[in-house]
Amino acid sequence: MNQVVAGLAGGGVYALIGVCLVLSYRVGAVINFAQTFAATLSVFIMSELVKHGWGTWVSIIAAIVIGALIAALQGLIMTRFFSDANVLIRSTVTIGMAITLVGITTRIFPDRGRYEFPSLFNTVHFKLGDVTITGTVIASLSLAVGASLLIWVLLAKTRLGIILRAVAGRPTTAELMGVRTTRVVTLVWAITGALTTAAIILVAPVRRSVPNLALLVIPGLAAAVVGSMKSLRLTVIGAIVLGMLESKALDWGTIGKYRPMLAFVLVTAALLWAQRKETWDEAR
Amino acid sequence: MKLADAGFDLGPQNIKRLTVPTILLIVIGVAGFLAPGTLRFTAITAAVQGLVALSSGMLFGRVGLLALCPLGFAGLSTWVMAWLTVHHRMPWFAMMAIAALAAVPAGLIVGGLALRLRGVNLAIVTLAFGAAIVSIFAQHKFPGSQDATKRSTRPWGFTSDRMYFVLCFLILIAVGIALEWFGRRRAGQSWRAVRYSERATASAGLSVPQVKLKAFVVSALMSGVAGALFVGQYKGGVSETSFLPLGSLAIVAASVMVGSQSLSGAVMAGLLSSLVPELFRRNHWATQYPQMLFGLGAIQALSKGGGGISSTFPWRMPRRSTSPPPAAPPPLANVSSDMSSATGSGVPVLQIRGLGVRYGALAALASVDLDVPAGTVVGVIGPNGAGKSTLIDAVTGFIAGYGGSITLDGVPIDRLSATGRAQAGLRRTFQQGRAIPELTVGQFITLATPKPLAAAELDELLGFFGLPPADEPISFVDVGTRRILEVAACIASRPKVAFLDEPAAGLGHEQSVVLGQRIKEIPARFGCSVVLIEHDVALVAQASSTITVLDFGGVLASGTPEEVLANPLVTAAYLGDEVVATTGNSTTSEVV
Repeated sequence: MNQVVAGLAGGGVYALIGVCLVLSYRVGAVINFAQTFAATLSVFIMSELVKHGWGTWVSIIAAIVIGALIAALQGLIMTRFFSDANVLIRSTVTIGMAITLVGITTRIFPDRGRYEFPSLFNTVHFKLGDVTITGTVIASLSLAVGASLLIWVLLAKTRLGIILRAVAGRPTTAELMGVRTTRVVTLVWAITGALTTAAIILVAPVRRSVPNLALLVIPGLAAAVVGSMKSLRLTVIGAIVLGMLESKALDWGTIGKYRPMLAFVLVTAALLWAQRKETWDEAR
Repeated sequence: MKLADAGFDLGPQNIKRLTVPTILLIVIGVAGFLAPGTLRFTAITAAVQGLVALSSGMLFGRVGLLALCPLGFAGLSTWVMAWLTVHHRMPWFAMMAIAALAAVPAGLIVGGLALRLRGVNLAIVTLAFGAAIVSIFAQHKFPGSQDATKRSTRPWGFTSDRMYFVLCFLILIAVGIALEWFGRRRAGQSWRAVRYSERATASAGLSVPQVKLKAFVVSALMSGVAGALFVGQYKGGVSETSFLPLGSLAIVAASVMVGSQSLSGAVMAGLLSSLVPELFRRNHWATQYPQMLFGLGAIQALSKGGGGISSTFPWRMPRRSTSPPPAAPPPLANVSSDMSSATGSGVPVLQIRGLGVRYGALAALASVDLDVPAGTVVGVIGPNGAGKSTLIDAVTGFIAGYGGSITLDGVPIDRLSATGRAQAGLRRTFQQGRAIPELTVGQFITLATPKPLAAAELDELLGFFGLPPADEPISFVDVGTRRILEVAACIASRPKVAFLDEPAAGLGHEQSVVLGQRIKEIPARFGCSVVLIEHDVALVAQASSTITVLDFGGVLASGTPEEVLANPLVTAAYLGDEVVATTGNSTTSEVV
């Protein structure tokens, strides 16, 4: 049981990444493979700031702002040069961005260096019966749920949300109706950048290396496809289930050693289910 | 022209002429051979990475599939090669072949997923697949990686770095040439068809699942060969870190940047991803800069349309055909509607009985009966939303559940897939242009025919439809002519019945009149019936021996063009009730 609860921490992080992926897909019509890569760079900058004596919280806020700015820059590139491209081309562009960001990160922060990431909430923990609940679990879960609620309100309840959904469907039409597409889309990218950076900050003390952090996009994607790249609620549920399964799998002996398989199995099952009737491609 | 689609054509005539790519290839080979000590390892890397880039570039560039796990495929072969090297001493080339084959099951798994998952979905699932494979390597270390240097991992005669480079480079060239050879066959060209439209591919009688699975098997094999070569490159000391998903992403970025769907692109991608970082290292510049460059280069290539650097090189420019257009064959003596109805007096070749299609509560078609007699042109007209497109989709196999029955030559075809129906002799064209710009006119027609046409037969067909010569690239053909080309390709397979879906859309008046005349001659000249679905009533009246009018999913009228177009119900359906009183008796051309 303790392990399952510990898995909630991972689940919360996956959920944050997942809902951000859903948001940029719904508003920007792109699968942003580079999302965690930008956040990883910001988190390494954070570790450098802490090393230079900046306060923990100041560094964290700086990292979140930097994460938002990098993502906004990506969003600008996307709307400026690829507004007419299809989803596949736009998503391939983010792979180019991801590779560029890995290059920049490993250039500034080479492998051999040692980087310290502040663990924020692990000192806080309390017991509920036999179960230990750490601060990280609470922080990641509440961030995930809070962010999803915020995004849900933003998309469903505000005028901005209507504009955002219009932008995703028909950027040119929205532009012709007087919506400043570039500004709106850039704003959304910035929001996803900030939230993803927050998620990466939570796991950085455990995962540490650039590939480990950047590839968190995979469980994030698994969660997002459980929600069909659309439903925030199902994305959060998918993420938490995946997080708990991965944690529980540690008890399963041999199978536990192949935990990365779980994300692949989940992605495959969710996508095949969603696409089960798609015998033909969209081209007619 | 052949040079253009080959990228590198090493046919005898080009070797003799020493074309630019051949010379360049020789220069690169010699440079690699003469490379000093430490650069030799870089040269090996260039050749092996080139293979992986070819594997991933082939899928993206030729088939339009984005798979993010080329190194996952390669890793499986590396593991098997390492295992064979440790446990079974057999001839090196036999081990390499077995190791390369080991990647095929993984290719089939991913290819199977690609039958339903397309575009970004395939990208997502392959990224997760790559990560999952690495978790296997983390548990099962590469055999012999601990005591690596003790064993020989290279074949006899190729043990030095210099000779191993020669071996890897030759294998890269051989694989590249084999891919070009395969790419020019019908199976290879069908990859391009799948890239543009799966429906059009199936309608050409090609099985989309087979085409995709073949593409993934070929891609996995190429990655597999690269994986097997890794063992000799690192003399056995391989670890799972060589196959991380990040590496796969970098190779995908490099192959998008240069467009590594052909040998020339693959060599370039290999050189860029090995030699450039090495040169940076030697000059004490950070080796991460080239990687950033690939990312940015890929973005730049995509913003220019996605062909990659190699497609902009002068040697890749297709050349306009220099041969004269085929002469039109003499028109058949007096093909009149009398004659076509005479040949068509027999049994219907296609019988549609009680055809019904529902979309939820809406009945798009309700018990439609239609007979297509042998050797006739049957026109189907109707206002927008009458059910014409649903009719053609249901008959040609693109709508899963429909009511009623369809028989072709007396045999029920309701259980056949779209591909099966096309193979049985029921072909169609599409409203949207589906000609493939990368192919030539002749290649496009060959793609649609199970047995290649003789040159004379092909020329006659092209002349009949007034099309450009067979070696003209389709990218040089105007849109209207491309539509006629699609009709020609459909007819070239000698179907029993050809459904032409608005073939005159986008044609000028002159072109449309000529097309009408040609369609009218099709049954007598090619022995197949035609179902012509068109908005251009004048064209339908000119070409058809009978016309069926659809309205609100049912048959409104049926008969000879004169009868049908004089029918006040038909005029009402097209123009609204109020005009019937004044124009009810008007002739065809006035209605239009």
